[in-house]
Amino acid sequence: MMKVIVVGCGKIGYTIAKVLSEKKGIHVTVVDNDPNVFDHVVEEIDVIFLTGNGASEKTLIEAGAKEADLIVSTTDADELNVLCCIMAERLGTKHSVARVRNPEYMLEFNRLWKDLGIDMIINPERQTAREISRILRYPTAGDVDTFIGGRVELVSVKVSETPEFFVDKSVSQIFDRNSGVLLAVVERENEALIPNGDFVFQASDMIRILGRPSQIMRFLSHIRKRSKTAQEVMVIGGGKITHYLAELLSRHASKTKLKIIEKDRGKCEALSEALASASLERNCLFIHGDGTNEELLIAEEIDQMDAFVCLTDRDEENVFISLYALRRGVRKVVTKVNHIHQNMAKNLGLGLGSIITPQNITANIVIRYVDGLTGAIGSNIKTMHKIFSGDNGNVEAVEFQVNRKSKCIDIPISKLQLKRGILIGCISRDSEIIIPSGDTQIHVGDSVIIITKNHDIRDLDDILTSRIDLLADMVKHDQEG
Amino acid sequence: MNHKLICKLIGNVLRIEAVFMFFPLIVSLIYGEGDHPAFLWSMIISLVAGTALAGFNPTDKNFRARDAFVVAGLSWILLSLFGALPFCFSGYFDSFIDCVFESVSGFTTTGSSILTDVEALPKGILFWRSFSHWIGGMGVLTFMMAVMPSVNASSVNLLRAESTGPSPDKIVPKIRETARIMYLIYFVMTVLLLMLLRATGLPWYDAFMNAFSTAGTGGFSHLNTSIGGYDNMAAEVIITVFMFLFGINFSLFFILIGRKFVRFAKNSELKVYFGIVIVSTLLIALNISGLYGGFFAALRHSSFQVSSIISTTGFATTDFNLWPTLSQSILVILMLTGCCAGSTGGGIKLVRVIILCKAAKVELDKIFHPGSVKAVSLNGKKVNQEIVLKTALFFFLYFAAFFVSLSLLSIEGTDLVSSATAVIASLSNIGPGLGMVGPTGNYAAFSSFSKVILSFCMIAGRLEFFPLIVLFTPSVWKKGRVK
Repeated sequence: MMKVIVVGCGKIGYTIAKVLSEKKGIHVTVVDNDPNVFDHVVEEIDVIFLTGNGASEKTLIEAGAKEADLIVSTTDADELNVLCCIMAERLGTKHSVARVRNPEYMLEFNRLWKDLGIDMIINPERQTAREISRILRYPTAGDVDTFIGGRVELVSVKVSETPEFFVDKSVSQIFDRNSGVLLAVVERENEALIPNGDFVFQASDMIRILGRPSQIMRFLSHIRKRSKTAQEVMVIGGGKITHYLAELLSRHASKTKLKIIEKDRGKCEALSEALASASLERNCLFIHGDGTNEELLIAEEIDQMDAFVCLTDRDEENVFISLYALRRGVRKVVTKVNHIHQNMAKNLGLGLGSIITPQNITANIVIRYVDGLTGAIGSNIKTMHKIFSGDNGNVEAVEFQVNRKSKCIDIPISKLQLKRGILIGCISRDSEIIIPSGDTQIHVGDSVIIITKNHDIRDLDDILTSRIDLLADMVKHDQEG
Repeated sequence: MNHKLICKLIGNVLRIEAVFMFFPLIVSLIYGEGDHPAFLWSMIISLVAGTALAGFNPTDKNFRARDAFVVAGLSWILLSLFGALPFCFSGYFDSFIDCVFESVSGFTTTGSSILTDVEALPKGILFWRSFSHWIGGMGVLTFMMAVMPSVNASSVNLLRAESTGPSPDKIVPKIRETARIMYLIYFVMTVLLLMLLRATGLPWYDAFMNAFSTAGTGGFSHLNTSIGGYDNMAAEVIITVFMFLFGINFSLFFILIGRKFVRFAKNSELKVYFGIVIVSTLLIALNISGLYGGFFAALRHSSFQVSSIISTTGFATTDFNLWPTLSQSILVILMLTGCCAGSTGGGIKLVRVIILCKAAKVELDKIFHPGSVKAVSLNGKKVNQEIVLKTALFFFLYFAAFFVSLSLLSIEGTDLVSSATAVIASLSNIGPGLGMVGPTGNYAAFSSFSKVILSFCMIAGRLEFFPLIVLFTPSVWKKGRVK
């Protein structure tokens, strides 16, 4: 059993506590100095709540810091988070994760944090910026889910953007061995399908492909001859995410130019100065103005933009401006949503391109870290992404670490009796990423990505048909025959 | 309202009850007194009804506080109704109302009986009576959470609806493990008590019966003369101690297991509980020493009786109807306060009394120093204003229920002392009161109407009012629920 203390029950603390508490064998204690925040969430997350200052010895001891395995400090104050972690580690907590957001602290080397006893720094703004930069770098992609520490990505592509390449062709014609990517899911008319080789594409489809980032890039540039990384990007809101985004893009996509619109003059100037002092301002244009002002957006040539990123503090503003940008024909629109539940925004059916929620991104990182702590070998889920949820069921992509006990090992995949609606996506072995074919085998220690529709897969062996299922299938077969 | 989920949960409660009926079935088969068909039929009926209800497949697995209250209220009512079936089929009871009264009294751990000659009943039926105390003590919903797989965070509402006290909460982060640990502590303590009773020379059957009744702080006895019938000093002392123990908040035992002795010893409710028991025992012993010819003989009876009443068990070694008024009034006060929150006992709960006393002091301070700011605190922690308010509301509800039930009961003209203590004994889940319903008396003489009223009092007291109030609020059942 693993004991985790989460300090701060804000958006990020809440999300981390929720996801961790839903895992088996993890006991979570949430500490916050405001007892009122607990009233709303007590029915939603299965944890113990404790009122108090997470950096005080008394509260930490009460929360069980002496025998805890991990403390995650996520309050608004960087310094408090660091103090919490140091205190808890001194009391006996084995690992610590602190949320540190101030860009000035991020310049320090990792070693310094280690010296303080902090194992990992999470920076939601920076992680979000990284996610956005990833979306921007892919030419047509909408959502991007990452697996195996970012070495495998699941990217959505709209068929309608390059119909000539897909429509009326079958899967086996397009996705052969040389493509290097795997077609995982097709979304058609509010239903998600796991296609087989004979599946034929339609113009309204949205597909998701799985593979190494470089292979996906190659595939995408292959289907869209003129495709390229977004070069002109308009960003609404000049907060910390924007800062990190400018920093990341100047490093990874040096041709990309940012047009940053910020309502607050002071913030606008501060961002400009901060980026200038890091000599990153060359590709940025800072405009003091209101992102909801249509005149301003037109004057700044919104129509000419390759991409549009909405990062203001207000969700509804982000959603509105994004919808406007889509209407103006911007191909790629990224919308940040903080308060509105991500699923709600997705299920609205507004056709928003990429919706990102910083707390989910951050929680995923912490969860991956916890998974690492719970022991690498052990057939537990490493990451899980809900890809699609609609009236006709859910599609999930789940990453497993294969252990010795699994029944799937050392058998050619074509010989495995898989349930219907299960697809073995990618296998990661040592430094290799394998797109499996019929004679590929799963080995102990591999990471396997499973795409599943309407199954509750919690263990790798769950993908196999049990005897009861087999029997049912046989009966069905008999009846049909 | 999540109807499907409510049906499913109640169905599971009934199925669990059917499984529990298996134990008295075995007992009745062992003793062969012909009462086993009663259990077989009851099991089948509960199982069929339960399975039918459990067949609902809710799409939404979350439920809100109001759903939990409805589940708690309904499942306790149905639990009692189905639990009355074995009594009904056995043919030893005069009417169905009597069976229901006995069953409610069992599950709510009250222990008041309408039977005039308990010893005439077959052993299987008597076993079920006492066993229902054990089931009801920790609660059937808590049991369900410990064994059912589909438990999520929103189940905390169920735990809150069934456990006692102003702010029942989890002792470990996972709700399911909390339920398991509670039941484990309960189980281990019951087994310990069973072994000790056996060691004092009680036959196995008697040891089981008394262990169940004591653990659930119920008070059903299979002897007409209750524990007094044994005249076994060792057994009396053991039961006295265990009645006291089962009146302690179970989360404190968990703290004790975690070796946090200081936190255990510093718990204000425990200290008050201990203090009240000592003071009341000594006062009563002094008061009644004349009756029993000496202080120590009196101490034996007073300690047993104080422990029995404050833990809301209701066992008797002597007839306290014959005691002087001072002793009787002390017992009535103990009936009202009851023991600690989070125990298997009933009553108002000492922690509520403590909170309100402290709140009263804070308010009084404001009269002397109008600007004074002071929060009510308990065990070194601030008590939320909302909890203080809820505690006061609980007091009001308790006494409102008391007065309403008393007026309804007085229609048939029983004397005031008997009626009043019958209502208190039902609300606080004790069992015996004074006068007609004293330790040697019983509830047989009440009319069916009064028995129904008292049955409601028992369930209301066990669930601490709110679930029943929610259940009988019409707007809960309407769609939309603007009001």
